[in-house]
Amino acid sequence: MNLNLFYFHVVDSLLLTSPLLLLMIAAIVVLAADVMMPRDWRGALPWIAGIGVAASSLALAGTGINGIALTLFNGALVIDRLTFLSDAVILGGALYLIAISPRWLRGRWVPQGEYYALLLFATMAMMALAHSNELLALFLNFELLSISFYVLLGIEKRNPRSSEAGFKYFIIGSLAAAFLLMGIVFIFGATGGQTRFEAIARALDGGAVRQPLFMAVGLGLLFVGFAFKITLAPFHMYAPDVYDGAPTPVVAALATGTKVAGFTALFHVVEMVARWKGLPVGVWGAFYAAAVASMVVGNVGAVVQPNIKRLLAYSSIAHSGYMMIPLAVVLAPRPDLIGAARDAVAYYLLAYTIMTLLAFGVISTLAPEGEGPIAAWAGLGRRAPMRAAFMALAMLSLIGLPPTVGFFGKIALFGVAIDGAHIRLAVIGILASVVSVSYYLRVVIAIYMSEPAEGAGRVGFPNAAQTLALVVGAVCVFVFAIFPWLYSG
Amino acid sequence: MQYMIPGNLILAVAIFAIGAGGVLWRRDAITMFMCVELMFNAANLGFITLTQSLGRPEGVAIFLFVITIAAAEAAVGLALFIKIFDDREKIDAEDLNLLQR
Repeated sequence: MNLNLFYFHVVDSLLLTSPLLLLMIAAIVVLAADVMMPRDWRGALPWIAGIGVAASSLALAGTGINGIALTLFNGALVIDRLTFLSDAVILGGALYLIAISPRWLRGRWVPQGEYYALLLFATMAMMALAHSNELLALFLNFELLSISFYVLLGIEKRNPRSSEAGFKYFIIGSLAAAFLLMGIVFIFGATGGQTRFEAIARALDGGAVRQPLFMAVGLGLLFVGFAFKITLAPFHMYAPDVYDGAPTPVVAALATGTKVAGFTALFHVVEMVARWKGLPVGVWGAFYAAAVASMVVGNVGAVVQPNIKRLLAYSSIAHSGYMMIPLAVVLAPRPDLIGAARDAVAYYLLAYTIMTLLAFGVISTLAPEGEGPIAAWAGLGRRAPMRAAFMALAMLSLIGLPPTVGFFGKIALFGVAIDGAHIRLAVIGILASVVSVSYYLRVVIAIYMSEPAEGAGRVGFPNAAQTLALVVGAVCVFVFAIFPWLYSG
Repeated sequence: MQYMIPGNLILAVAIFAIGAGGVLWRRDAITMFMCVELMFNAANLGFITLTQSLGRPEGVAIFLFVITIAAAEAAVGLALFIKIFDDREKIDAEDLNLLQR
């Protein structure tokens, strides 16, 4: 590449990654402002963070959406339809969490500047992970996301439960990174030293892979690394403990943003190998088994959970299982279904993010009483009618009842399984959804049909920002169900 | 031409397996973390070996990045350990069971 062209390539790349760069700048501004502003101006920090996310969203809208995939920085990052949609979801989620957080943080031992700065860094890392198009970039963004979350999960001072959640995520997260890295070693070796996804796909197509077994082992290890990150059974053991102990808004980011980013990156990996003729059947088997195991373990595990955050942890495992269905079908191999699978996964990521954020948002406004046992939610319908209704709505959408996003998301996912003639996967998914009715309705029953415990008075009011965020979240549950084209264009 | 698997790659896989076993069976936090570092370095050994046997320089570049990332991770991890150590006398994963009740 001649120098002039290279210069334009770098400028183009920087312009197209401006949403990420703006988030990074906002994070640094938050950190600097925290140190330099007078102490009683701390209330401005969430505003700075929010303006950063809003600016990043505008920049993202400016880059526009089109069907053409562009590679940036000499192939390290990619911009395509899927990354545009997942970026939009991640930024929306970040704005929601910044609105929820200030009230939740009040009276807790959490350093404000670090909290918002790390939230922005984590958001940036999620977007970067979704864009990864090269093995080294994949590993770096994976670790950037992990390290931000190690600190965020354990950020609450004088709370041993928060430290414990951070510790558990640290050990599991670094184990996942080690598996991912070893997978990269195998793929790097098997393809004769290729790192870019397109180059790997070309090598696989052209039969340049001398050791298909090495490639398969590499993909398997890579998949294990991802499985930890997106809580697929049997690599989910840490999720209930981490979700239970960590700060609720951070858990909401972990449950939604990490999965959006992880599934987008995993989808790019699947796209890379989908057209490989010699794909060993074991790789497909691993995806299939993880989908089934996550649906079963997640839904069965949630049935007996008395604690709301642990229940949502198992629910997130189950939903990861649903989202694995299209990926397993594509690797069946049905590379012709990759477009349908992409749309289904993108839509379900949006649906899952909306309903999970709504549930965690309500939990945050009811902190600290509402963060523990479901029994504490008894009679909430009378004590806090608006939030009770929002929580019930989130639960019904998580079950997948029409006319909510959860319903249309599941239709899309199971539709791919049926198109790919994997009726069994669709049936397992539907049966798992039936099981899920029992525990989601348990929350609704506690809210509307149980008497409040003795001495349970009125719960605190959410502030204006929280109310606005919850209302927007609840509206989104319907808007994106009725007008799905608003999202996919 | 018969493709030879370099001996160092087998060594790397062996070290990786030892590290993974250590994380699963040891219960002392520091030892668990050491085992994770062992896994990272096994992967590094793999990159260096492949750089040599394939004659492609990208492996060394990845190796340098991994070393840096591992250092950043160690800094955050040890800070977390100190935070936990403030609450209790020792950092044993068996004792970290507040969240299972």
